[in-house]
Amino acid sequence: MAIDKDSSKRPANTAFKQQRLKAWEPILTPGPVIIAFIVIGIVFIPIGAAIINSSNKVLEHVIRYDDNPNCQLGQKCTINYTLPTEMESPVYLYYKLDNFYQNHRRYVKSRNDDQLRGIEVTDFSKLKDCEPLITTDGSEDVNKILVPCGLIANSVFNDSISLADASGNLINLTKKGIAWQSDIDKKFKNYPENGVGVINFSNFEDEDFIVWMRTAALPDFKKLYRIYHGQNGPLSGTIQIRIDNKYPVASFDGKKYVVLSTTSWIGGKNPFLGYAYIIVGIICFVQGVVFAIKHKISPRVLGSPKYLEWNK
Amino acid sequence: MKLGKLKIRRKKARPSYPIIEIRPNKTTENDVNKSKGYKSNDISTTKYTRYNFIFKNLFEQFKRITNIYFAAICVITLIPQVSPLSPVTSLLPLIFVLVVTALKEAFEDYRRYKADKASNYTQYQVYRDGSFRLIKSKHICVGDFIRIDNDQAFPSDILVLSSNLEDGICYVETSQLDGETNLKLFKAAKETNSLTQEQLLDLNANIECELPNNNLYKFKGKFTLQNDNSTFSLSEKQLMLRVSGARLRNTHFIIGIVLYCGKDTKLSLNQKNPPSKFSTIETRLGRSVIGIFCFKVVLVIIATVLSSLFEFNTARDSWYLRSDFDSLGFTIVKNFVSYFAILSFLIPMSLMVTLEVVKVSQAKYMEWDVKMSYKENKKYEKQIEQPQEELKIKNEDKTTTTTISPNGDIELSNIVAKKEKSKILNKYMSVKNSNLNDELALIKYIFSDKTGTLTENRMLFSKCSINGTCFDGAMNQQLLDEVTSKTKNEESIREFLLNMSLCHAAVSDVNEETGKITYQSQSPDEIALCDCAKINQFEFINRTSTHAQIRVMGEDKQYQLLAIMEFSSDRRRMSILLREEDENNDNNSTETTPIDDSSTTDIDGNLLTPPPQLTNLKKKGKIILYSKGADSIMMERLSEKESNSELLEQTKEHISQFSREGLRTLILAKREISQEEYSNWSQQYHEASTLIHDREAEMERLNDQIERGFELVGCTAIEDKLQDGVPETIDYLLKANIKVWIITGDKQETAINIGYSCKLLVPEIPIIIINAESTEECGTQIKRAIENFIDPETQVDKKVSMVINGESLTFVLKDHSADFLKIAAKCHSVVACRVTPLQKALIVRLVKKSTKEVCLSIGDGANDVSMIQEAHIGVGIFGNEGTQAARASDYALLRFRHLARLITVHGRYSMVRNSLCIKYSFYKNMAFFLCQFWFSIYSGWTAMTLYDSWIVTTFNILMTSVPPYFMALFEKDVNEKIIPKNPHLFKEVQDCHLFQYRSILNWLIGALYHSVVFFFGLYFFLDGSGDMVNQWGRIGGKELAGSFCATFAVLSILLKAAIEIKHWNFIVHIGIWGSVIVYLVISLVDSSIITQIPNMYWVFIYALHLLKFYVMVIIMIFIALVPDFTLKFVRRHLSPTNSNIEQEKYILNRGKNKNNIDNDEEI
Repeated sequence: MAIDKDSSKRPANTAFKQQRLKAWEPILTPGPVIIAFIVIGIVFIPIGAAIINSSNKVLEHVIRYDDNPNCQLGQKCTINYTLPTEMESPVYLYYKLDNFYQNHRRYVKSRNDDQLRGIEVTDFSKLKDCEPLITTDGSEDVNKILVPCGLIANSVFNDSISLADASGNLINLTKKGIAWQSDIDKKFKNYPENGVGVINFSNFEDEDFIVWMRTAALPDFKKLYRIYHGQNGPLSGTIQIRIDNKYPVASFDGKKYVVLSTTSWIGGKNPFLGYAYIIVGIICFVQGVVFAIKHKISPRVLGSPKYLEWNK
Repeated sequence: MKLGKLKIRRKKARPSYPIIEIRPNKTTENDVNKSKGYKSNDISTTKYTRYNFIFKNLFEQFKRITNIYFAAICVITLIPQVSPLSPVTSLLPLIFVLVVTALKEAFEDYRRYKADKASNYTQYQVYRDGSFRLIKSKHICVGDFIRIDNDQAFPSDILVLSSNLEDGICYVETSQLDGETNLKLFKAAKETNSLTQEQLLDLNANIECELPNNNLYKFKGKFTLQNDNSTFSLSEKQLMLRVSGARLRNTHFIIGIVLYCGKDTKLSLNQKNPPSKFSTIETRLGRSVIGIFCFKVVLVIIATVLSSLFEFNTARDSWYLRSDFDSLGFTIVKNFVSYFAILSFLIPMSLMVTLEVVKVSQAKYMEWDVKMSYKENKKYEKQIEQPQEELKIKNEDKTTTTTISPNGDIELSNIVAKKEKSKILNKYMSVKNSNLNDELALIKYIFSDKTGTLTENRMLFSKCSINGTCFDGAMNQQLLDEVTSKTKNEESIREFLLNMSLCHAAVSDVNEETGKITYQSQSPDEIALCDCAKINQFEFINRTSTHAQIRVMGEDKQYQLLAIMEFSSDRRRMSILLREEDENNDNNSTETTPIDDSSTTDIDGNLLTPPPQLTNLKKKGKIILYSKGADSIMMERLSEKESNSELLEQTKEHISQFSREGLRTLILAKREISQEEYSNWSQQYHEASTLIHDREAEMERLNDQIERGFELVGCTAIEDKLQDGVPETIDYLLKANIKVWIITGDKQETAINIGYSCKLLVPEIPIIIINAESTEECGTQIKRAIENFIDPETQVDKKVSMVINGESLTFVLKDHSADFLKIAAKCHSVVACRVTPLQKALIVRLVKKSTKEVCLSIGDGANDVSMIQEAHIGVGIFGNEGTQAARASDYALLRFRHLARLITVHGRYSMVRNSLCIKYSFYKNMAFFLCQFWFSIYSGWTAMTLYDSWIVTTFNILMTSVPPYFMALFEKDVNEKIIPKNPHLFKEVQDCHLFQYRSILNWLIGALYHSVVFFFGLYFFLDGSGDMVNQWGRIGGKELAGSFCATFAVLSILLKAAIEIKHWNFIVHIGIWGSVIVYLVISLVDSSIITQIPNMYWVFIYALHLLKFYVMVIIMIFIALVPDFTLKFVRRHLSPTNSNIEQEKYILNRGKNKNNIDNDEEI
């Protein structure tokens, strides 16, 4: 019995324990590497060209209005703008802000998502995220809770923008669909009309509100405002942009724009992606060719003892 | 004899171990020893109890500076005003690390607890209240009589009083501990062994012992019998130690007294943890972490300055931010702390834990390796069996007489023999310090013992020189033929064979079934000598404490044993003092003096007292001192007449010849002692043996006094057989750019010949010989060597080997260290001969400190312990000579040949794996989290995190935890089949170039590049200076941007691992691609929980619907990784390393031989 016990201590001769599991050990042979580089080049360059072509087809017009002498803060104004080419529908109308830090840590955190889903939150420990805008006067009175609370919801962009044709007829713009569908479905629900707190605004399902509440990644950003679906044909000629300038940005050197844009399968106007593909493709292709030439002219034979250090 | 009671005498207190008082009729109530403060035998080796585990373990873990660092980060994240991250980002990983480590500690401690409990609750027969009772080990006390039965372990350090075997001999087996198959011999003092058990238990005595100490191999004590105030000495021969794995063997039982308990046992005192040895990689890792920390602090300072500027220039003018108007100082502190937190992940938290687990796993691979384990021993066993059979066959032809009664339990011998064989089969190497796995790859110097390390530790008698004649057929009964044919050498040969059969410390073992006698000894030389004498029919039968018995050509002879002077490394000789007792003399003598029977009775009856003067007794039979030893020692002890004889010259010539053949030589000598001289010497010797202090010195002086004036009997030559594979292994190690030094106690010629036979020395390489008798001569020889072999002009050094002896080393260590190292550091190999054990350690220390290279020492015996502990890495070999070397080492091997595989395969792989694991861990954290810093440029320097908190939390512990771990477990830069054929490949890892600071810096620069690619690629693809517009014209927002960036980063980081891995088994595949899947799963979950993570709801799912997402991810991965891949390919193609070439050769050849079965070549 003792001998049997001892036998169980014998180290197992399994592949795992002897480190002999079957394994692939690549040695970077030139052929496959060269072919891979050339194939990557051949594939990437057309993709890059296609991206650039699509990006070039995107029409985008950026019109600043806050520096217009006729559009001072508090004024209503009309800006005439002549489109050089027709804009096929859909055309997206954006407002664009520069030097506005929606990604400031203090700003981003200042919201309560439960409240935005229509829940009457009265627990101040949960509302703490909304600092410094929790109640109207900073007290802990549930009846003075701001609805909605937080910095983001209390700084919603409130300029109004509309379009008219050269004759002064309003162009029909659609508001529906400017926000994420998942936001509309799940994240934002209207607050009860007679709910607790000081209700400044209860229509949380408003898509302008939802768009604003999705904070931007960078300090210069644009947000989708309206969509033109082409009921009256493509936009062309001179259009009137009617603006009610109410949102102050001058104190922090901000800028305001209206942007008219179309899109493509790859998104908005941005050639960088295409250039990246072309450059990488060219680099890979050139490398492949250079390696192929090197391999043709003076190949290094794999596994040749000539290159061993102790044979030199 | 009367054992009467005596009054207890009060003695003056001494700074020593209290006297153990043994009293008759002792009961639990009146045990005087209880109040003397002896330690309890309750064993406790655990570090924790169930009550203090949590607190103590946390305390231990927070000694680790990285844990303190990350705990500080946790505190920061708990402050809402300051923290840019949610607390989970730091708490969860820290808790994960703490819990994993705590579980490991708890598991180990529980095992200790169970071992302690098993030990404490084992029951032993202890004499209490008038009878032997079964007492738990924990209740055993100092002074208890205890009975140990066969196959039992020892609960304490026990003084053996008697055993069932004759002369109080008993055997201890330690094969469970070290695989050593020889039984260790212990022997009760004859004063106590002669008593009956009843007399023992009625003893009235005092025992004085030295203070508890950790010397396992020495013990001094004094035993005083109170009834007649007689005293005798105690030594390590009587002290049976509580050593785990040691068991009583071949002995029915022993009766002993407990001397040391619990923490006072020598085992416990040796259990202090040795100072930790750290590898080079660990040192560099520590410094790299500090470097990264400094880099992080610089970033934090930059960010703090810029954030404060933003605060005062921009934020306060922004009405929508409704800024607090804090003071400048408060703003700066707040911003500093925030950035410190957000950039904290540049240092990977779990790297230390990963490395610990990984090193333990690597150690398991070593222990599991069949090429370094039991497979080897099957061959070894077969080789052992064959010579034994040959000996038996020859004996059967000649021996006709009946056997003598056995000493022990014969059936047990058979069982033990079987167990011993099976134990050899099951033994495998063990790793005691896995911290040094990668250090094995950096070894530049190996210092090796010879006997038992390079050699089999199994000697074969080869030749001898007797009376000026050389005999080389002794093992074929040539000597017996000479005796029976009564040649001129008959008398000399007879004396020679008597010396060999009597002058030794071997123990005989009789097999009752066959009647064959075999020998065991701690020295294999002695077994060889006994076997040779036996073959020539001078057969050693038995030895007791008073008599020795041999059989000479079928005729029994008995000698009275007067004294034994044992062999030691310092004495280098052994002697035995005997009186002939020839029972046949009465019949043959013409003039017979009647034997005085009353005198004989008196001597036997008074053994407990000093022997009286014997001048008045007339005894027949000469007193003879037989001796054997190293020739340099013995020659100076020959009588003056002998020193000038022609016989000595002839013998010297034979000795030189034997040495040139690499044989191990001993000189045999004898001397007749007069009765008067013996009486005087014996009286002094007995007095010296009872001294507590300076006992060794005094006894040695007396031994030296009598071991002089010898007649030369002859010289033996024994073949010290090399282990299998030793020449090939040494040749391999030398070609692997490792310098090998053999350090041996042999004399110069023998050492040189061993050097040639094991390929340490080769004919093509010249040898420097340093053999000086003065320090001036030594300096001269060294300077000449430097002039001859070091060319200052061309700086091209020729290959050279060196032989230096111990005496010269003494001069070197004292006066010529610097010069010696100039030449020694250039030597390809070195043989140091005539070296003492202390010098072994001094040599290692000298080379280690001056060259700063990694040194490894390997040995198998007690003499090697100091050099094993001195070296950076100590390797012990399980062998016959002892357990000390294996116990003191970092790695314990079965055979020397396994050393090459340990270093060049396992050491290499550990270096490759650990360095890749560490560099990749640094890379992945830097690449991923540095994006947060870049994002600050566009978020107003507010420490806003780009990634979601849950992504930050799981990045280290889930998404990217597997690749570094699997790299460290499975990576191989070359296939292991290549390594045995190409020792030169070892140079590539030997200089630690894989883990140079520059190599680490290259990885970090790559991480910096990748982080720039990830973030600024995102920036430029955000419509230039807008936000991301998708194909429906909708805007993405910050969360979507963060999700994109996380995807670029995680996928690129995982694919970077794929580019670096050279060995893909299916587990590695699962690890890499599985991690990609884990990332996708985590992101989807992150996007699906609206109540807990509302800001991330639907974000990743939304991304998956965008064409732009896929287009961007693909190009980002290529921008990040194409440069890495190209650089790798170009570097490999333009300047390949040796391992690249060899691996290519192997792969291509393997493809050609798909149908052939691979032959596993062993190193």
